[in-house]
Amino acid sequence: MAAAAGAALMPRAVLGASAGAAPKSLLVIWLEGGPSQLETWDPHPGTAIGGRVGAVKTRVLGLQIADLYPRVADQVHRLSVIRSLVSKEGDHERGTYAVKTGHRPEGATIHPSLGAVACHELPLAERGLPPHVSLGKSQWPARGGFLGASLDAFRIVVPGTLENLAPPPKVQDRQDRRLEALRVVEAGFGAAPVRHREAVDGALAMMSSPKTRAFVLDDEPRAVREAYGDHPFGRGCLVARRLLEAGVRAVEVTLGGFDSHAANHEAHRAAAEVLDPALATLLSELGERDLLQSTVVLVMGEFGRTPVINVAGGRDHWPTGFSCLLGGGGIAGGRVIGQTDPSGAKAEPASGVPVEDVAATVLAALGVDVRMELETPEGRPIPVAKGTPIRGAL
Amino acid sequence: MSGARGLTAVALAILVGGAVVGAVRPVPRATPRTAPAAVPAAKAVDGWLEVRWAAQGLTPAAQAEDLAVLRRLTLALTGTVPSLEEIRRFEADAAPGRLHRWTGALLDDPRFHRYFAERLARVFAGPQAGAFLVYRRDLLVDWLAERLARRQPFDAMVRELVSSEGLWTGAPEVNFITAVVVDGRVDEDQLAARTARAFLGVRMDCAQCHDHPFADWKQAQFKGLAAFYGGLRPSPLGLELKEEGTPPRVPFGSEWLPETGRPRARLAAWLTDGRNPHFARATVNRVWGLMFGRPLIEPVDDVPPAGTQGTEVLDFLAEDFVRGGYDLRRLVQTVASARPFRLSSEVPEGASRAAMERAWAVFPVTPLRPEQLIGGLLQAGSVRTIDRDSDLVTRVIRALRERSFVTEYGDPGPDELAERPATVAQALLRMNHKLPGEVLEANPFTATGRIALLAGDAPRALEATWLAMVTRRPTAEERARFLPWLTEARGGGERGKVLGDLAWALFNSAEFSWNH
Repeated sequence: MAAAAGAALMPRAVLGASAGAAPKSLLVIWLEGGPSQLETWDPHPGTAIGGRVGAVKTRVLGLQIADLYPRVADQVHRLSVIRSLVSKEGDHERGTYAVKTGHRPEGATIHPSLGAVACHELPLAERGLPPHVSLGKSQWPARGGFLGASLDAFRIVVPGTLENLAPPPKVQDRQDRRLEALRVVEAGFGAAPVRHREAVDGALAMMSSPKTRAFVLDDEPRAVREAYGDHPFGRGCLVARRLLEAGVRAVEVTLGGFDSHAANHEAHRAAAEVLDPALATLLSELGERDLLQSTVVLVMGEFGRTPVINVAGGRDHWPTGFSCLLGGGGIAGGRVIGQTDPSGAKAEPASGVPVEDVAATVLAALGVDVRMELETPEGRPIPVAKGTPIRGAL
Repeated sequence: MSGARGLTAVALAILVGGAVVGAVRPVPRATPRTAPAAVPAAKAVDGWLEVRWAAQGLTPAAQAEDLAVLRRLTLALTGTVPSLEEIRRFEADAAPGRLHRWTGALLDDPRFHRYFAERLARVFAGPQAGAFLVYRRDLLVDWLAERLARRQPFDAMVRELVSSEGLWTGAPEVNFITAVVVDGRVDEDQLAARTARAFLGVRMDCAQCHDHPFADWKQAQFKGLAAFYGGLRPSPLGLELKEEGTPPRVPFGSEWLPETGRPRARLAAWLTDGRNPHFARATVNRVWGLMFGRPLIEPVDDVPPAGTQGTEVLDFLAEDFVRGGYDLRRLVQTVASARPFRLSSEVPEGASRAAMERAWAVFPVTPLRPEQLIGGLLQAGSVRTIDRDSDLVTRVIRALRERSFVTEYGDPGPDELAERPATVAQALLRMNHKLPGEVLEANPFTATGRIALLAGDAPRALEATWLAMVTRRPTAEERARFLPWLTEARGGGERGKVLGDLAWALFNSAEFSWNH
């Protein structure tokens, strides 16, 4: 992978760090469907490719983002913007795989997502909470891959709820009898695998853990809930903040609606109405609560969208020269890396950053040695990262 | 509802309580009919394994109870546990060799054709729904089930799949090809990888990025194999062959590759040629895996060549499979009759489970697939056998429930025979999801409800519940512990609740959700 040029994104200390430091967490805001760079973090207003958005100033000198995001504009300095992402995958499933794992899909080896690697390398000290959580409806939620299904993200499809954590109300008074019967039956089964017992114990630990309150929002002030937005995604972001506070290692929150092959502007405006308040409030709260130092934040989708607007007023898949937000966990904020051609003529962006390098940067910031190898159950060594951390001038 | 179909209240009571079995209407589809036949190939397998056990100083596990074997057999061949109805009939068959007869009867059962077709479809075309416009997975499964029902030899089935022509709607086997359509063209690399894994037992796609651990596969050989599938596009008229690219080449055994013909017809003939040992070996390893939940050689689709140490059983079964005319049923009968399939899953005191499982000296303990778990749950919740003959409502409910629960439980994906952990999310789903609650709670339509009402005294109710859930009778400890709960229950409603709680406990135990 070509090392990216561009501004210094990671302090040297971060790259070598990890021993002794408190383990960090990962937060991925997943924009499903392939968000347009032009209607998010890389607007080109007034050009042939710019569409109907304007640009709005941010607190970073010279950085403007699409005016669909006035509130994020006030918070985006906490993260850096990469405008020159390149991926080799233009299909939703393959593109998602490439970004979420940092590897291209190949053969039958399923690579673990970044969150699963984080959980594997930085295990939680106590039970009662799942280490890896995916919030919101997601077509391809983060999974454990060859590291095992126990590192699959624990899925909460409707954020703010936690299903199957308690028996149905009408049988709750029988729970003690049921568990007693279960103990008797289990004791009589000589071939019982330890893993079954561990999973049941883990489930019972969650059922009785006060920490799972982080999944529900009853005790959040109304003003806070409203600031995030009365929408599953807004609630997902608020739950994510609570889970990070409670010590969950990796959280993914998904927002869909970006696959705008037709009516691109309308689709992105609708998505922005949800994303702008939620993301802005989340970044602001992470900053105020000192969570940004210990949390790597990545806001990204599987690819971007074509500079040319098609006959249906839509934009199609575009895996070269798209954008993401990345920061937290020691990664510098307020930087802008790479740029795209305002005329749309040149497909390749300046200072291209392969998506594999984004993954490597995330892992390095988490304190994972990106040169290490993981082992598949068959004993095949697989490098944890295919790319190299973005360090530019480092 | 289905449970009462064609049964008088008296007959149902007999079925549930287990008195005079003859009074239950006989169900012809699974009535054992052939005389017990010796399975010489199974004896040979036993011989190989006994040599191995002796060499390793292992004492094999005790022989399993017939009911335990019936449970694993039914799970392997139909994806559910045996129904209470089937257990009663099985127990009424006192003649020697009943497991052999039951295997034969299950192989004639439409549930087997359907379930095995689904399992094979995963191998041939993966678990995904794919591009709907050109890929109809459901039709492929129907086609496979129909071929299994009419006992088409496996080599002929594979030849049709690989060389198929026509429209994916009219010629369902074409969906083997169109399953990998990406952006309007057939991805020949995916087909080559799948062909090598499914029909040769080799992960040739590994050669794309590193040297294969035991075979000398190179990237050029992989491309040569892929070229047999090159230039294919789906069109409204069927599969079209567009361009000529890399010349097709087989990675070995070019002497039995036909020199003329369409590329895929040549490949199909080459794959299934009697001189190609890999085809039978891959198939045997897969079928063994489907029977035991674990293949003879792991991983299932990367099998070392014949003569490698430790592959004697595979070598023998593969040769026997070819001799027997690629008959899948004969292979299933052989595996089901061999000693490992009849051994207990319990390891004797002080022995190492890992060592014994490696040597097939004990029946391996593996997690049920999601479909088996849900199939088992739904079957256990009904005293009668649920199958294609059951009434429509039950079938629809079953299909819907299976799909949503499987999604939530976590589909194992294409690597379904790889080792999987049990997850906390799965345990929460089993314990607290409303579906098991609905199926296991006592009401007039569920097994527990009927047992509470009709089974007679407490010991019989307990026994019927245990048979329906875990295909065995309660142990002395369980009887001592739970019978008082039933006898102290005031009224039918309370008795139903106790049975519901016991069924819940059994469902959540490892004994239910693991194959053993």
